Amino acid sequence: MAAIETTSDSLLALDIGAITTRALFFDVVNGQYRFVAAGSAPTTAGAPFHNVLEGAHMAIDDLQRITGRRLLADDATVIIPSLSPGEGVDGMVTTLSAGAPLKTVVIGLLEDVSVASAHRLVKSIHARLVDTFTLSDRRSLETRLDALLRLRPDLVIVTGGTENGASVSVSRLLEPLRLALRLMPPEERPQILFAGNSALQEKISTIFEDTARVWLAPNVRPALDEEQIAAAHTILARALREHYIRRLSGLQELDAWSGGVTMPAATAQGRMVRFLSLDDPSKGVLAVDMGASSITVTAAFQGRQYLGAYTDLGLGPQAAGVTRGDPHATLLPWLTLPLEADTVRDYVFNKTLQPAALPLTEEETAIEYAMARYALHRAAHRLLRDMYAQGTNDTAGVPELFPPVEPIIITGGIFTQTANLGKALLTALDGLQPTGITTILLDRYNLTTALGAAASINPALAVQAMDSTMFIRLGLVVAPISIARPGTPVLKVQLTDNESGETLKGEVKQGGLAVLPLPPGRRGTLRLQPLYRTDIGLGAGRKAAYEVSGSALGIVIDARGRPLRLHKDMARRQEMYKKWLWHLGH
Amino acid sequence: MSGLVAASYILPLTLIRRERAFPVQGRVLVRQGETVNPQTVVAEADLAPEHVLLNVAAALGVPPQKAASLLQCQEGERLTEGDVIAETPSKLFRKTFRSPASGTVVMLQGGKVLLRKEKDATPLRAVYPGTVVDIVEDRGVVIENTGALVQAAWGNGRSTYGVLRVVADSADAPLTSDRLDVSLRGSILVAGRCTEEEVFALASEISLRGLVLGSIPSRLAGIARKTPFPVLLTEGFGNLPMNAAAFELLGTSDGREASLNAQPYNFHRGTRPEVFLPLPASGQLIPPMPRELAPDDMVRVVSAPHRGEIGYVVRVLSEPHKFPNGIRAAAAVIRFAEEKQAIIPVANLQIIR
Repeated sequence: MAAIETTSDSLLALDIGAITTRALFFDVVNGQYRFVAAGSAPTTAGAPFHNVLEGAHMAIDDLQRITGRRLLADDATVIIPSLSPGEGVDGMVTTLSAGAPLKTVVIGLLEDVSVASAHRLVKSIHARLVDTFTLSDRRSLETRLDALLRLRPDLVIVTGGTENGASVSVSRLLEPLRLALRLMPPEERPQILFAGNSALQEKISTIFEDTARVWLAPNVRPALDEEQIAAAHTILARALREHYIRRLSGLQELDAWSGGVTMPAATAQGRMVRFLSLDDPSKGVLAVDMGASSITVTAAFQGRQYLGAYTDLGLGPQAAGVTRGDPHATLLPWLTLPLEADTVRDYVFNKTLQPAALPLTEEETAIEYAMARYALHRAAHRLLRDMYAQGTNDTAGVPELFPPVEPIIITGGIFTQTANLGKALLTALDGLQPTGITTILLDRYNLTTALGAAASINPALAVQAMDSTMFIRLGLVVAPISIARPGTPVLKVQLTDNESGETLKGEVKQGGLAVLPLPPGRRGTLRLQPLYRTDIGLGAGRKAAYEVSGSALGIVIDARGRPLRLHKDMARRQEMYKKWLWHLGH
Repeated sequence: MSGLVAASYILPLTLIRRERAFPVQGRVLVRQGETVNPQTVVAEADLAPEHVLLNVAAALGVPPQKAASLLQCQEGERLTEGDVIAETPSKLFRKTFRSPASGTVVMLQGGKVLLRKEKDATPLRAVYPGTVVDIVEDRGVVIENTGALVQAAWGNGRSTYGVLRVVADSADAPLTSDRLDVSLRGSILVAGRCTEEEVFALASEISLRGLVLGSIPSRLAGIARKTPFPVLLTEGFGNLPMNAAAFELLGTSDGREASLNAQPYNFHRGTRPEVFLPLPASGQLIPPMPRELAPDDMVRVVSAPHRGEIGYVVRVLSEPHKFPNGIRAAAAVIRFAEEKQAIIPVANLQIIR
């Protein structure tokens, strides 16, 4: 990777989440960009403030208290650029996942082609699909017009027509939208993103120029067998910025201080993960942000990015939706305590009413983590399904599993609010079910997202701060895939501490989870010898030796099987979960 | 972390300002400064419009441009069913196109007429008695008044106004079907909790106007949602009594008139269901505002253990506290009844007064 010059610019990154607003400060320390400190405050998008600026001020104020650096001027604006040492900051970026998801309507020709691509595009942003109009839609023009007026979408994505393909059909599909826009008051009109046959761009602009804000993006389906979502996503991120500036009071000021760099959090995370994936062409990168309003999962392979922002899987106000009709039945396979159906359902329903509340009792903690593991598993599964649907080669060859990635970055309340790192790691392992050899990094302050946004104004900062030790290394995970019966040895492991020379040896059996301690700061040599054609991500039966770094939990051999099948018997499952946590040191 | 805490107010006397407005454009029917009662229709709107696109050109068998010249209506014009929309000039073979429904012509284009069918507009009632202090253009109003306020956790989306009847001797007393009879018709019932499905059916039968409870089991949520009158839960789901502060206020308000706005908790807007009891007040009152937690604040715990208990802040811890289950969070020491104390995450507290 080409060297990037370090300037002396400091940076304030503001991350406005659904529940918490964070102010992160980056500066040059010993010639390298470093994350310095974070302040936080509740997000104030809702009542009684209805102004995100309040929460931003409080978070920055908290940061000032921690760093001793004056960032806010007397008129409560951020001091940009810095005036003197210890005062002000040279640049600012804002990322956002607060605010109601965008109600989105998709209009496209064929359900399995351009409409499927448009749906994947919707899933890559903070949005909620409310209706789809296609060629096969049997509803009358009037019914579709009334649906648009009743639903009042924030965004309409229009796709259809491969390059040099259909154009007349697309135009006909747009008639209800054209009429609806004329009937809507200007302030209620949705933005329109056109990502179809580029030959139609001029026509689309002409049709809608007087009634709506139109964004033109490259065709998401240039050919029947080709999908290109990334470019449209970039344009869509700009549309989202405009939408939230209109809808969230105070964001306009923050955007002005940020020089227009206000970005959806999912987009920013995606950018950083995509960038990181360029580092090692042999492996991809995976990142997860488990928030109250959504779960974002990003996988990237040599710059090819797959992004899912699942607004129906957040662990806060949508908790009841996450678990669908019967929370107890849904969560039962993931529960590690025998609990009454009423207890589980009451907790899940109350979670929707008090999304910021933290579980403290053994029962509520069990439900919360069951919900987290289940929701993460669903999010990962959806992304994998979409990756498959795109016909990409970036899959493990098994629909339910990611290929080996390095690293996996996890963030979000469920991971960062616990001091029990073993529980955080186990949640990630159960939900994501990684394969091969990978490092799990805990991003306590959601720095990945901040740096994704920062990269647009200070690439050097994004590169150097990411290189530094700003994450907690939870563990190096080895997840072998084997068809051996449970209890059969599948892997011989040997770890030598390079400093002390001490060597740990052992065999790991199929179905087991083992931990070899190697504390942070230490280095060791790990030798892995698969048995019975077990695959550790290198091919069946291939052995390997690595120089490895220490981490909070050490080397974790997760031989529980892929896909993971948790025991159906509650008592057995409870016993196993306790055992795994015990192995992980808690 | 800033110590700003969520708030769910239980106040014996306060000033409220409540927006009553449609999410879509409609018509505001009252003026600023006007006094409204709970039944006053402050605005109306067509929330689910129905349109019909009339292809006049095709019906008359003429080219679109010709059809446009034959139209006898204009945009914005109201038509009743059977009114002539267009007519050919020929006397021998005259063709007439009539409106298939009553409605308003909203668009004329290329020999086509778009007609919005006439429908009864949805009325928006004030729910809160008071003075209109602001108009939300084309959508609704802001109403101001003084009185007692009890904010809650869950509501079934309906609203009403009526007389409170307290049918529980304690915050813990269950509401059972044998407590309901026709003498309660038209009243808003206040009780501790309810676990009986039959209560909702019987309450509907005797035309109860509203129900304020501490909690119901979540298995009854679907029934409560479909109940034709407002249902409001101060604590949420489970088998919890109404919190002491709410019961103290509502339990002593038997016979008083109350507004019951059981709007669901809106995470993005931060609005909560609530009971408002209008009361005259003298002097200057200001609406309560969230603030940082401070010693002696009265708080309610919203999560187990101590869920639903009312306590007072002894002190806010300066550093995050590590709880036995591994959660590390900003926390405060809370004093409950009988001098019992516990450390509770700030995220699990609501300032109530």
